Amino acid sequence: MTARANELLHVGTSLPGVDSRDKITGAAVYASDLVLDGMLHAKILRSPFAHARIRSIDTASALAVDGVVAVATGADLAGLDPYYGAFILDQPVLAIDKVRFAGEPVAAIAAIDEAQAYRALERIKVDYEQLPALTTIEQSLAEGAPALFDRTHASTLTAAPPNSRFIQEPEPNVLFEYHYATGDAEALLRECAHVFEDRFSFSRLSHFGLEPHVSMARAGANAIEVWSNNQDPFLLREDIARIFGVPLSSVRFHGGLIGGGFGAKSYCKIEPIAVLLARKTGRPVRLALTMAESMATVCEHAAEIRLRSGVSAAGETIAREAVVLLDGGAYADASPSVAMRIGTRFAGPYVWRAVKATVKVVRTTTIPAGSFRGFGAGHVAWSSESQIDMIARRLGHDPCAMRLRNLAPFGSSNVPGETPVDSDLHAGLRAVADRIGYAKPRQPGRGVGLAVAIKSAGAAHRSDASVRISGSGSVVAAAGVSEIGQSTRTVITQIVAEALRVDPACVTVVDIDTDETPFDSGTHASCGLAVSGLAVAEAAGKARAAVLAFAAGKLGCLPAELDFENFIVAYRDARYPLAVLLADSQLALGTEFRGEGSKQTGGGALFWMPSWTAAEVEADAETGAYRVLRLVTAIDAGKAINPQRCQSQAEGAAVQGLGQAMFERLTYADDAPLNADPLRYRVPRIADVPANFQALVLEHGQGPGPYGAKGIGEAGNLTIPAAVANAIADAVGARVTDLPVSADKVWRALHKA
Amino acid sequence: MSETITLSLTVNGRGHVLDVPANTVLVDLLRERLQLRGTKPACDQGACGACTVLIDGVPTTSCLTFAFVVDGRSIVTVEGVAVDGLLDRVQRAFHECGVPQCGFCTPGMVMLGKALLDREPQPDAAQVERWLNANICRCSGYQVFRRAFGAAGAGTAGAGDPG
Amino acid sequence: MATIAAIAASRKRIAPFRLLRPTTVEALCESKRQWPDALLHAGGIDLVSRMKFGLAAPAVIDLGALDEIKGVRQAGDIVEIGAATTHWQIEHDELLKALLPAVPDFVAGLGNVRVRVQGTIGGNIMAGEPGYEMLPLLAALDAGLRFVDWRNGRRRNVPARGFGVDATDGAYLLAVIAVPLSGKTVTWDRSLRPQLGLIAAFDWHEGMVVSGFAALTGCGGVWASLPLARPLSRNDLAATSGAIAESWGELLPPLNGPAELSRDYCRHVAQVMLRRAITRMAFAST
Repeated sequence: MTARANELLHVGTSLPGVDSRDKITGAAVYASDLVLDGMLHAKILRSPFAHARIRSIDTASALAVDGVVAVATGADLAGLDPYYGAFILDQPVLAIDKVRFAGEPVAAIAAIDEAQAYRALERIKVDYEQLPALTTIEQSLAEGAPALFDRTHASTLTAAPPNSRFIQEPEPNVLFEYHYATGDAEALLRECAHVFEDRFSFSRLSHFGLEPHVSMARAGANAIEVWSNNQDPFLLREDIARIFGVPLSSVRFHGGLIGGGFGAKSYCKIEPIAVLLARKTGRPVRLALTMAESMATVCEHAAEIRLRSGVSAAGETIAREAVVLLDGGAYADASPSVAMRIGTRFAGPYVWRAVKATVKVVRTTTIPAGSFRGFGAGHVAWSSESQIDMIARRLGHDPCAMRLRNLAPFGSSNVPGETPVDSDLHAGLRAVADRIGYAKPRQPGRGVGLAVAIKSAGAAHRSDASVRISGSGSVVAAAGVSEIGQSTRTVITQIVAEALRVDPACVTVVDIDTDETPFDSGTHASCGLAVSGLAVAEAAGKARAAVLAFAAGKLGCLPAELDFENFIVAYRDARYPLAVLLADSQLALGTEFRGEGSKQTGGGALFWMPSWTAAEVEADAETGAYRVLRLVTAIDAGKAINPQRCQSQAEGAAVQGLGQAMFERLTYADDAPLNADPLRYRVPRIADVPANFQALVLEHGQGPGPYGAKGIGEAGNLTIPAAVANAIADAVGARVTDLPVSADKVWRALHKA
Repeated sequence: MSETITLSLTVNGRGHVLDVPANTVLVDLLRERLQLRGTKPACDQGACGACTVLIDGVPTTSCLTFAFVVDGRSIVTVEGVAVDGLLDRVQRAFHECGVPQCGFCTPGMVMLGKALLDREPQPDAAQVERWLNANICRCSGYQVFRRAFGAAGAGTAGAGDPG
Repeated sequence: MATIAAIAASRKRIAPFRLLRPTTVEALCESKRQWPDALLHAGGIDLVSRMKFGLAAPAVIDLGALDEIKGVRQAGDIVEIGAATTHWQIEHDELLKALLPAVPDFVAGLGNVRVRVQGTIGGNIMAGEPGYEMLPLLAALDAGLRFVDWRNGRRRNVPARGFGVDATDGAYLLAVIAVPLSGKTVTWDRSLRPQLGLIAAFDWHEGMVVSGFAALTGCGGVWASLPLARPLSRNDLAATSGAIAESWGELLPPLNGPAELSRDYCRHVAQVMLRRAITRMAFAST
């Protein structure tokens, strides 16, 4: 019956997802499926203009439409604290006096159904005074460009990370400026044998999670209840409490399964609008965006990156200076933090003597840019890994050899003052290079490209958890990390089942209810397994200890003499089912033994998330068209709690990176986006993914999480774009530095010289 | 003026006679009128296929289909695929290969996959790709689906050398 | 500002309408006379989509019961395809496979499975979307489009090569697509889809190509005959493929391809695709 004490039963197995059956049979419930009795349906009127003053809003005709219960505009925000923003609070719940991007919410209607709400939206008359659109960074920074804001804003920013400083809203249309420096890059660059300066651009991207943003709210006299597919429940709770001026304890958030996050559902989004209407109408209100609306709500930063890198004659990386202009869109969202992360990441996975970075977030009258898988690490990987390749070729060095020469050794801190690198970067690169057959001679028209990146993860995070064991043979685990498809519930189940030596089928991970669920900083930065997993493991251990303490008391022995497996206490050769022990104590079968766990991380990286990719492409020099023939990507899971889910997570991330490499880009024409909708924004389909594609789940065993595990959620996508661009350069000698790498750009690169 | 029509249809084996406005879209008929919320409207533009259902065995985009089209016809939704709680072939394969991540594309993929297997019990890799190219999954990278249909060539889970 | 429209698009916006379901073309014309603003519902893909964007009408005429304009039949040296025939039906039609195999072959790669089971050939043509592929195929095949004037029941034939959606001024209903059985060989290049594609057709007489035609997809109604000075043997065809493609490219109007592609790139790629198509055709076995 019992396995050896040190043998893992559940951790390390590919347990099918605990929600898999429900998802496959249509039983799974998402926020967009929820219904509340008597609920009204809300729709948002959005600005058609990129930049305009609102002279007046006439809602009389809209209110007269049959079935309309209320209309809300910026005027309804009087008396509230109407701004939100993860770090700089500049985004109004509904536009106040001004609109700053096409698509910005201006008014909201609550009606008996969506059809009536839409009908009423058309009757709202907004008198706009158009102002010049600032669609690009260049336009925003140009002499005489109108200022998007006439004041600075409250912020929650605290001290800058080591070796850096920041300036909030330093000049009109610049949201944030960040300076980072270690060593003396200027001096070292003057001495380098070779200094190369190259420019790269990174495209604006859409998260494209399939479930749009949906929120429901119910507001009583003193209580506000919210249901939403937001991935940061506790942060949202704080925002709602602050905006509406109620105590934190009177805001309750319910969270369940989320149909795709990727960062789009981080931080406060549309929830305050639902709450506003719920308060105004006295009825529950459901606000469901369409996918096109979701795409117009938040996006990933476009960027212009200039890298000046100095190397020795032998190709040793010496010093680097990076200047980055991020297009932050109209409102701050997560931009300040993204900027800081980018600024600290330009060492990449290599050893440098000095790194200097300046990052500016420029405001433009476009979709606000925010949290996106990778949180800036993708920007760095694209530019840095492209340039390393370019430098290698210019110097006649092999790109793989140059990387191996400069990769940060295991256990070293390639970023001064940072956590040492806890993955074997050399081994990972060799693994993907070997798999793709990097050393083999190239066939005509074909090339192989490599890329390596690391992302810091898990900093400044707090996860709490609770585990309750009942005599009836069930275990309930509660943690505040949201299930966005990263299988957090499954992994928690495995950790708990392992700790308690019970069948995973006995373990339930409950939905999030901020009244009951332990606190969590939010489902981002790949903290779910590493941080929350530790809290869960601790909670399970303590719950187990509580059982043993009870049993020891009953049996008159020490807890250390007892074992507990399958809800049965073992004492020497005797077996005592927990249920029996409870009955003997005249306690109910449902009596619970509870353990709490908590993990708080510091300011530095909790762990590093590496990403290695090798890509083989075949390119057509006449048209610039290319195909990705083979793809090998690797991640380091530390210890794969669930190998199957690690693999599909890594593959999914890589394919998102592939989309970015090949065709994903949100484009603007004049002041409105051209393709911010599901039909026109192209994302990868199965035919875009080479059949010859393998994600390697490496286990270097150095993770801080349970059993040496690490998070991997934001790794796979980082290195794909550079690997593809490097492969094309290898194949036909065309270097594209501007994402996405499209056929016409390859062609142009081939024919312009 | 709301023109109403009467529909006679079978959904997951059950007969219904319903009076609905003519402008009712099928996905809403299923979710709101019949409380079958397994079918997911995601993109609402017909691009992603998450809303796929079977109409007389044909995989159909329910967000682009008016309900009036299904008068006299038989619909199967994701809730009607498993029989007496037993997963069908596609569902078992999805479950074993770890298909659902966020799960929002999954109902549509189940229906599309079922339609494929009903016509081609042993599809080859090219057929799987041609069919599944209709639907979008943002989470998985599609290899799990290739594995589920047994159509993965080189690069299967752990096995095979891309070289 | 197409995307702002997309932000406000929703199936919940679709306005109510009266549904009409004629079973004959005559009844269809009568319905249209009664409800001149009525919208036509074939497969529904484009109609439902446009109604989500706000297109509305007091009545919708469903063509689903109109057997007269569904199906494939042969009439002498012409194959007639009903406008309400779905792509799926065309893809699997035995008559087409026997007489015009290029058509089901081409349609098998159109869109995706969901689009093909629902979309109709008529709907694809009348939608007027630059990326849609049926009209370029039919232009290459020199097909005819047969319309019915619903005001008076009169027929009107428009060659696909001369067709622009505006040409029918809304008073005409597309009923039948007539494809001549002229023994053309057809080849296509979809390697740059969804942005650009090419379809080329060649007419043979006694082992020589006497004329040809090439159409682009993705640019909306851009096509031209191949400028052949005289009939060409296979060898001559192969030898002059580049020159032919270049001259053809110069015959084309300015290419308004996808916004992100420049005109000179589109033209260049179109010519490369045609040159390769000609070469393929020259070496293909009959």
